[in-house]
Amino acid sequence: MKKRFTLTMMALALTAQASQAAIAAMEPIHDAVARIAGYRFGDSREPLTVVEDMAREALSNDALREALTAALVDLLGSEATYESKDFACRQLAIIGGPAAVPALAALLRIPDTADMARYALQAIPCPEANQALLDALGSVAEPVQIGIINSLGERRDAASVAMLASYAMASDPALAEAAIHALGKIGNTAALDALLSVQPHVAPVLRRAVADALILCAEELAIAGETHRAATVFESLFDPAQPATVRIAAFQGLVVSRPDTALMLLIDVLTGADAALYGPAVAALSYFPDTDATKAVAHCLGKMAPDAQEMLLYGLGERGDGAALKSVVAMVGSDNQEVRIAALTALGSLGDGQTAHLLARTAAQSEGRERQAARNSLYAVQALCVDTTVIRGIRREKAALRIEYIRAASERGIKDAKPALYRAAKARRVEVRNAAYRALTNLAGDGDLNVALSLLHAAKRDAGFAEAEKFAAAAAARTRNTEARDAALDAALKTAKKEHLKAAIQRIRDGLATDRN
Amino acid sequence: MNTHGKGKSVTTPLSRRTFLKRAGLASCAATGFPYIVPASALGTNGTVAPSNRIVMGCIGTGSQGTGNMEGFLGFREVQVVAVCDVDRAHRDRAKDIVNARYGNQDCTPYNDFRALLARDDLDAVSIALPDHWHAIPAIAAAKKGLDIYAEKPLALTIHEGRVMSDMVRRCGVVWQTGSWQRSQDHFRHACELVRNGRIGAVHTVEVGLPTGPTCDPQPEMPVPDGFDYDFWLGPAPWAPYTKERCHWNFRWILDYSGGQLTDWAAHHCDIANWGMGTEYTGPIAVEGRGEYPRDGLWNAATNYRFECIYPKGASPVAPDGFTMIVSNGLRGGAKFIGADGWVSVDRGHLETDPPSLKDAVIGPRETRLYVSKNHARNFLDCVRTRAATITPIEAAHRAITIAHLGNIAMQLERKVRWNPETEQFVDDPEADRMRSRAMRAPWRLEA
Repeated sequence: MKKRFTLTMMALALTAQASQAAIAAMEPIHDAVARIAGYRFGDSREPLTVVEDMAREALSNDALREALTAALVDLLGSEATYESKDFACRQLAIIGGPAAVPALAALLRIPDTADMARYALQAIPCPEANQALLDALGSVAEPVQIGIINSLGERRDAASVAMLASYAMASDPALAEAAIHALGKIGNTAALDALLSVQPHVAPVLRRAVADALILCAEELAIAGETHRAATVFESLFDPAQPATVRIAAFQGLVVSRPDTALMLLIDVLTGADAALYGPAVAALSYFPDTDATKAVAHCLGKMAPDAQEMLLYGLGERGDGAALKSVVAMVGSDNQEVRIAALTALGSLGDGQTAHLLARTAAQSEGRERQAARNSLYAVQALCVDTTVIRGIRREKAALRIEYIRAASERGIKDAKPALYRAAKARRVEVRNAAYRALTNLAGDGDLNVALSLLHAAKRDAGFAEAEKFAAAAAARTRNTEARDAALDAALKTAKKEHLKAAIQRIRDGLATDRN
Repeated sequence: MNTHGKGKSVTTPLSRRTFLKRAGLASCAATGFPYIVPASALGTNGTVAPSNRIVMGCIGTGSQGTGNMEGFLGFREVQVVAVCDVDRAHRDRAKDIVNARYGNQDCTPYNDFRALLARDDLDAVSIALPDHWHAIPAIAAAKKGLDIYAEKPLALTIHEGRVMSDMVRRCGVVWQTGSWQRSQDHFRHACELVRNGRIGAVHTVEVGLPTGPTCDPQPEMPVPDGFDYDFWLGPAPWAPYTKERCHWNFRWILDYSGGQLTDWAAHHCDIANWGMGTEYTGPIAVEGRGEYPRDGLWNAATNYRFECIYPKGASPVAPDGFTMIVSNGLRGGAKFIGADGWVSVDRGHLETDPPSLKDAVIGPRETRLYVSKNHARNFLDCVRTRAATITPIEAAHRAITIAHLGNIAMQLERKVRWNPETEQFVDDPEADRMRSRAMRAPWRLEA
């Protein structure tokens, strides 16, 4: 059971006028904080947790918060151990306010404690903390300076822009880079102006940092509604001389900040030569949900490089807008296999009854990944008439194409296909029969047992017999009326004349018995 | 509705979320269509890798990182050319494994990830570091245009996760989080059952995670030869070396991780989000109790239970909203409880009520989730096709945010209210202070 200090009564005393009572009430706080002053790593943390409990309670008790802050501040200024000051900074990061800032600012100037001072100062949301960081900046050595600059950036302190701008021009690249990043995080107009003025003068090694910071500023401007200025920045970075990742970010920004020309930009990118932008352009298509946009980009498929075609086809598939169907079907005839695969995949969501035939035919005539893409789409395509197309295909088509339809009936779970599958199960070619039996096994349900046994009786004793037996076994297993099932099996066994047939029925019975066990 | 060339100018402020959506993040992350770019176009050398070869570097080669690396070594198209670890023993062992695999001495070992990332021949990196080191190398790799397979939990803090996710979106790189349960058929099937309403309207999701360990106070020790301990600490507050602080045990110390809670929430809360369709949002209130060790080196929660409230509209399968309970006192895994039954899923088990539900077939006209049969394979496929992976970074960020919110609520010992759109606490400045932490200089969270 966790020990807790209940300090509510003490805090009430603190808020009261009676100073004696208040002083008395302070004692537990001072005692608790005094006990941690000698804490070192490896000691028991019990005394620390007592103060942690106080800090937690202080969050809902202003008087306690003030008193505990004061005690921790006293500790920071004392000869207490590094470890206890480390701990105090962690508490002040949560409960600290302006009153804690001077003591933390003092620690900021000592290299060994500067990081933990920032641990608290970075978190404390008051302008005094910003000022303390800024004031220390000129009087500390470089590692601490970088830390302070990083904290000013994380705090997005607008008042520090001028100071950071001067550091962005520092001859030390590490210091300059930290300042550039901080300006980017602040991200306001002043920071943007500072970065733009620094940009022409920075060393080549810092150009990337400036570009990243400008992107951040422009994103913030766009979010704030200053889209015109944001777009100007994005446009300046949408430049082949910039690294690909910068161009991508700039493109995304342009789409958002210039919506009136974004679709044209998107099409320009997809029909252009900058492959780094194809993917982001496809992703940005989601910004234009209407059918006109679908038609506009799909219409340009023929003008695109294969990489762009491939990505756009996948994107159109996910988009699911049937307006792209005709253009996508045309791509199934592409010379590029990856494009064909992408088109076939897209048809899984865009396709209709006619497409189902194209997919089945492609599956029958191709191989490898292309065949698999065609099959996956045939199994997934959602138009209601597809099931009818599949059933018709099982009845009318031959050999490989018929097998594809049979597989589709199985994968799509088309129970209405069973009569057509029964016929296919009697086909001359064993491949067709086997496919039909596998489909029937998958689709088998209550009420199929008699048909299954009848087919088993009629099955040739060749490579297809095993599949016929599996269908009968599945039908038996899924028959709910066990008495009727057992009777049907008994009857089948009696009428079976050939030994292999008897053995098969017996195996089915044995299998059911095993299931029961 | 906006049409080709006829959109109205944006003159009103956008929310950050809207900006991200318009930049293409939301749709691609949600559906997994290719949205990224050919690796060759991102590489610094501008050349196409021969025969679709994927050249990788592995940052962090402790037990998890080495396991991941060995997985990648099993793929013919992968060539691991560099390994990096601040522990020489780990680094050299990894280098030897790679060289033995290829029968040469070509693998280059690095102590500093920045030196590894400075190579111009990499297409991708595998990152498996302590949580306090997740953000910085990942952001640096993204800026280089490298595709990234990175261990869970995504980030040490909510703020780090947000910055990482934004950066991956900005740079257009492929990201796979090591929350590999999504690549197991039975986890996907469980989520598809929930998504398709097979248990009716869901009112509760129970997420069971392991209990946290404890240890006694530990003495300061000399840093072992070959271990760059200061680099290991990196952005975390300075602390003296002691054996139980480092390597596997980092996860029990709040400076470096969030305990069993974050370690496993990255798996099971991720599955809970996947099933509920809440991968891109979050709860609006979190409340619970945690037991944090009051002594000893390890200080992450050992026992914990918190409840996350999701409002109407957050999930497509919970019209009245739902509660997600996260605790070490529940059966491990994720259990979805609806009006018509339940689905319980964990490693090695899928149970349902009614029992027959387990074998239900999801039809072609029902909601189907992203299929991946192998997590590393999925990453490599996406590196090649530029598709989004099965565990995109934004989903990883949202999953681990649940655990971070739980830790914050339990540490403050009060209910916290959360805005999943702005990712800020509601009227709770102290909780907001806990969304991020200052980093030890010179490290920073670059954005």
